[in-house]
Amino acid sequence: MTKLVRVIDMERCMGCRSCIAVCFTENHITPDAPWNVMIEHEVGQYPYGRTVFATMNCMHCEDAPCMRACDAIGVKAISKNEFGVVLVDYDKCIGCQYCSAVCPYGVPQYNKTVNSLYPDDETPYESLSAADRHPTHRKKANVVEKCTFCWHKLEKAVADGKTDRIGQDPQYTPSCDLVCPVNARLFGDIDDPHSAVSKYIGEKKAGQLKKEYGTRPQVYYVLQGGDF
Amino acid sequence: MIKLFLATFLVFGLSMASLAEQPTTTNSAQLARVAEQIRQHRIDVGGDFSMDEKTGRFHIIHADKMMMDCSNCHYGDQYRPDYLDVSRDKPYPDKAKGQYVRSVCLGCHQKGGLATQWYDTGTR
Repeated sequence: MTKLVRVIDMERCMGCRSCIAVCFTENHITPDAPWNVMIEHEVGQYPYGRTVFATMNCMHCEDAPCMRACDAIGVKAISKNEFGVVLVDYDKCIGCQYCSAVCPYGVPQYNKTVNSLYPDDETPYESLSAADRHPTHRKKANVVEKCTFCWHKLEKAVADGKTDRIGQDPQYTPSCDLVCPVNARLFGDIDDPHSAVSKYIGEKKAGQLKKEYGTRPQVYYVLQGGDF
Repeated sequence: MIKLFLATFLVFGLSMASLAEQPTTTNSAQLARVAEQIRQHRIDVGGDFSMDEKTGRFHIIHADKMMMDCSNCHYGDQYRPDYLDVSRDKPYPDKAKGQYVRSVCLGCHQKGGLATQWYDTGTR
């Protein structure tokens, strides 16, 4: 079995937002529905105060409450595949936002209108037709969007039979995990005890956020200053 | 005389306390019954799966049928004191009006709660 997870080391993150910028271009993000956001807050008192940075994307929970809520109302637009990736089917989504309501991490973003990142014109990426885009990038109004772990890249690894290269080859690894200048992000298979993520989680004692919800997220954090 | 007064006061106090407790127990049982009836479609909560506060099922169920007050979930037009964001000193954004506390959901939507279970709590 392959269970893909991400580790984010908040002790290393310096808040540069490279991961967010690359997510915007890689996934054709619209302003109203970011898939990756930076949360920052201050801790301590002057002169010992500092800022803590945490990037938040979908946790791809093993017991995803968004999927439970979507299934419960019979829409079934959210699914979780064999690699643990939670995906939204835009053609089935009815835009009820129940998934946003139940997600403890505030991940699903409702895209009321598909706006351009530029004020007056479309970016070159935005001018691509729907047919030329991966299904996860076909933006629609009145649907909910969220991070896909760059499924369009992982899908390629599966098609090429190179799932063992996920997290190692750039073409098979989520873009946000590639661009971090301080190596604060790792991605890979947690079921492989020799993978870099498995070792990092063990060595740094990385944990999940908001465990009290019992969602079992597949994104681990090396926390600095406790849960947030 | 003083003892009689105190005894009367004690009896009155205890009877008031028991009266005050009764509706809470009844309310919980009633809410559980209402929740079950909603799940069994015996109470009409409409067919509009949206967050609209007038027509959407979400608010009809929680506000109208379960009689939850707005302030149970929504924390108004100011940041909470423990809000973790450096920009909390800036004016509260219009778009964020009606922010809500998700931990409230856990009360009923956890395992064994009276509402439909969303959170797999307490199993591990």
